Amino acid sequence: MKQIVTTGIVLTRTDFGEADRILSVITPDHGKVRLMAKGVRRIKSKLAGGIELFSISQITFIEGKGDIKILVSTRLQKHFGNIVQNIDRTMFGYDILKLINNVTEDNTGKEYFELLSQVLESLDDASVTIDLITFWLYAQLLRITGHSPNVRTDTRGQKLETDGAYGFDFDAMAFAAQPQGKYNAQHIKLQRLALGLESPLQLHRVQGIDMILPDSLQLAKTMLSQFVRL
Amino acid sequence: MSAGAARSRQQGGVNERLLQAVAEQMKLPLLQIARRAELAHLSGDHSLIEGIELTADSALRLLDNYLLSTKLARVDGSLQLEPVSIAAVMNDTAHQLSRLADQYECELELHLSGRYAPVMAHRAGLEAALASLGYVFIEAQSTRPRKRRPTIKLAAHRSKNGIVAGMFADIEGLSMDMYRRGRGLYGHAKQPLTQLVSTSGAGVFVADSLLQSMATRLRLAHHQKLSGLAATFTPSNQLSLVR
Amino acid sequence: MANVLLVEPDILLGKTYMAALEIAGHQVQWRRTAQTAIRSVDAKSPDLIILELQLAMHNGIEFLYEFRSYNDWQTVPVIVLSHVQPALRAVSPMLWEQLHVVAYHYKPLTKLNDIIRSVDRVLALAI
Repeated sequence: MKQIVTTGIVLTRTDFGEADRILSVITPDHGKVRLMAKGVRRIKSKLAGGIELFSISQITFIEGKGDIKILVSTRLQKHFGNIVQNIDRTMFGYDILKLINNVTEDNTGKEYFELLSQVLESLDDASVTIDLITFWLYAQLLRITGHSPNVRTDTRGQKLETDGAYGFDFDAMAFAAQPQGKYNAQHIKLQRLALGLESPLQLHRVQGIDMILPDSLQLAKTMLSQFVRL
Repeated sequence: MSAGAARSRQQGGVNERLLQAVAEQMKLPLLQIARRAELAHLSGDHSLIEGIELTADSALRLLDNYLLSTKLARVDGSLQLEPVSIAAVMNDTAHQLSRLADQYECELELHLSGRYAPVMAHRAGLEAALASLGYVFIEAQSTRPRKRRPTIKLAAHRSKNGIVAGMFADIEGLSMDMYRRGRGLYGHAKQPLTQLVSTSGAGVFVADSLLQSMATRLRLAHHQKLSGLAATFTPSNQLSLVR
Repeated sequence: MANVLLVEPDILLGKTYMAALEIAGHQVQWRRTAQTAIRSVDAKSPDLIILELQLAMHNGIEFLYEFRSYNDWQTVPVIVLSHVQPALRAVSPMLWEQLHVVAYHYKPLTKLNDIIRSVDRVLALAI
């Protein structure tokens, strides 16, 4: 039977029968796949289960009966070992794995592999805050799911002004000119950057965003929660 | 900003991080004392109080070693080093650590093969550094499940660069990468040396700070198939030494 | 009387907590690392777990997720007794509920009697 070799990041590991585990793995070319790891469970109850969480591994599998494929072998390529140095980052990492697992169906979601790689890479760097990573992630999820906010024109179709004050219209997914609005050009620019930049590490290099990040994060979270269960 | 002011600012940042790591570490011995006292009261077994004195002493020494490290780091210009007998310092350190090792159900061994020329060091700083390192290694070994009592070696040997002295043990996962990452994380992360210990491992960074004042640093080293953290010292040419 | 798994890395604290729980009438398995704790539950399923999050090598969160991925252990209650301050947790109450963490105690402020009362409360609810 033909063996398929690819890279993957484990999203979940669950029990199956007496001796087996089922892994949900996100890959760049097959999307999310479910793999049966046979005989790993009871022989030695290894915490890592033979394939590390927060890692990118080379995986080899073959087609199985039904939707679950059979894992043949794994080889660790990159382990983001710094994440577990910090309880909060560990927790966040698990939350993200769970989120990606929830938003993807079997055999879809190739783009989520790159997204998750970037999140783990940033989470592995202690200088990048969890808030910044979360903000970038929410923006990317909005983009991938086709719900990007309009960051060019306001609800009237007018170009967004550098000295304007805006609120946000969640139905229109666009900024609305409001004299007492809490968002300004800086907030809008940050939303644009989060949508356009390829990784949180790039966003981390942008100066002067600390003050506006909390409001921007809250806005992105509210936008996304309309479409995705967070 | 002048070079001196920049150096001072940098040192201030390091001290703050070190203080953070030490403060986190201090929670453990204080907790041990409080809970042990409570258990003695609960059970009526007042022999439990015995271990408290040792725990309190260890905590006081950690604080003292930290204070010494900040004091030595503040010395303008280079610290005055003097010839020091490494064997004598290591003997005193082993004596200081032996009861704690026993409390943590570990064996502490002193390995000094042959005679060593005096090394250029700050005597009190050297003992404080080795003791601080010792606390962390004792803690690390006691966490790992073993069939027999685990061993920690306070050892010295000659290398082409001088005399290497430090702590060594059979610890999986001890690597230069892990240590370098830990140096970047202490004061920021609760567990900068997670492969080694569950706590902040402040003793390692206090030791490194003390050693830096003596123009040396902790590095990954090996001694008789064991890995550990150690520093290299320059032998002194002077005949007189500080015992 | 219950079979309690205590996951505590420090030898002195571990002995103290174990002694206190035994005085309260419970049978205690004490493990110092996440890996040995997983092996322990494999050998004998506990009625309750008391867990420190700050462990060496693999932390308590990793242990919890691994533990909950097994069908057999979905409903075993976990009491977290940790150096990690509750306020610093980047975790929603919903997530603790999903992980079936029934109580969270900040170690420096939690006495032995508090732990014993918490264990009794959790076990009473489980009956």
